[in-house]
Amino acid sequence: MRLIEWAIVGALIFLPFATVNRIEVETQRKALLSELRYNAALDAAVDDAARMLTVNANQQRETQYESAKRVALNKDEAIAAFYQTLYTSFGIADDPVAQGVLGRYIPAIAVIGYDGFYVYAEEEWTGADGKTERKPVWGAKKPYAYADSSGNSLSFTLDDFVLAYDAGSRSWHEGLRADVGQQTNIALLKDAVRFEQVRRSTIVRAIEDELAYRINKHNESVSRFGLSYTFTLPTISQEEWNNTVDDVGVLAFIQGIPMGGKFYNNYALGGSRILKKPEIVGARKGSMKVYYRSTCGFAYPAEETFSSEKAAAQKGYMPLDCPVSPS
Amino acid sequence: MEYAPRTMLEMCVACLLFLMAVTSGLLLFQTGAALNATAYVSGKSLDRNVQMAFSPIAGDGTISGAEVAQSVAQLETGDAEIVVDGVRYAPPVDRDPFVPAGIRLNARYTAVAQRDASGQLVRLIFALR
Repeated sequence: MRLIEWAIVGALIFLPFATVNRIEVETQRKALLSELRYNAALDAAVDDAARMLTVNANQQRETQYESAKRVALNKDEAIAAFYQTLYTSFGIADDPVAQGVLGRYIPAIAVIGYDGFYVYAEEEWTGADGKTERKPVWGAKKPYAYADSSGNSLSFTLDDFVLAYDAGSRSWHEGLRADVGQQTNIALLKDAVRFEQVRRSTIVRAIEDELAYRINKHNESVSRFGLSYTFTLPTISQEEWNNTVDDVGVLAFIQGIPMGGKFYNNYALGGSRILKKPEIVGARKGSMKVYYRSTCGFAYPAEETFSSEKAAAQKGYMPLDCPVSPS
Repeated sequence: MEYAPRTMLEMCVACLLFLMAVTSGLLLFQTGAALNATAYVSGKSLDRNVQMAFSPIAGDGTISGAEVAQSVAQLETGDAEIVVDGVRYAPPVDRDPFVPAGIRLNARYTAVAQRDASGQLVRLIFALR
């Protein structure tokens, strides 16, 4: 055979291998890009849900004084915002069929509240027409409950506030750990470090157990619809759990979306914290108009207050730095 | 005839070049395939669904007696009523006279949720497992 014929044979041998290789690389690349897009969509949806969680139309149920974290949860608005953002990000805002399909890949959504958490997951019940209905609904609030060997029971919160049942005196006590610790003989309340450890582990275990159960139940239900994927509770890092037990927030999962040769799995955690913006004071220092944060402690006669430094500057006030506190 | 050795030499060089091309091509292909496989495996290992624990987390739906007692103690207007081993607690519960003596704090309870036609939770029934 001539040289050119050898070359043609060689090229023919390599062509199928090179084609397969190229297809695989292309699939991998597309899967990676889709994964990044899905991650962004889930993060945005959870962030929006967390933001809506603390939006409250009822003045009576605003944040109470004992803790900035004790906020009335607007769960329904949060869920609506979650799905709306998710559907928009996936480009299926006007496609109810695709929305239903995507819903199959969301086994559970947890809303972490101040003194308990809620899970939004699929459940079955009998509808008005006597037929079985199956939709995602809210479960009951689960407290972060703990019991010690002496028969005392505690309900933790996202901070030091605690509701305790003292088995010795057969009485209920509510308040900050230190205060309730003085009123009762519950040993855990007298040790701040151990209290914090037990509080965190109790909250994490309560959420983990409930989510694992809900996700297992979801497995049973979706297998009826032809999904063969096994949903499991993802391994959530300790750092993320620590964030979970610090603020009210939303925890959502998307699992099992087929993607190239594998499945898409992810969870997202969105925290919601209410922060009071520092007030900006516009004052007169001699003949000069100055502005500073109300926390600075200056005693210049205040003329106006502003919600932002920009607003103060627009009114002709000059910035005045806070005095440096001796360290 | 005098060209035969020259032709043979040329053929040998051509074969050698061809074999080198085949080998390097094969190596290139193998490298690509290995990289692809590695990317897939590393993607799998980063998969948060892979359970690293010996005993996978799997809730069975039961809840502790402490949770039952605290749920009853925190019943507020608008919440679903709670039934514990046949004892009914309707919201709102006055916490002070409530003594959870009949609830075993460290035992496990099964929970059944009853809902109305709209799916709203109306009753939670706890029973000692």
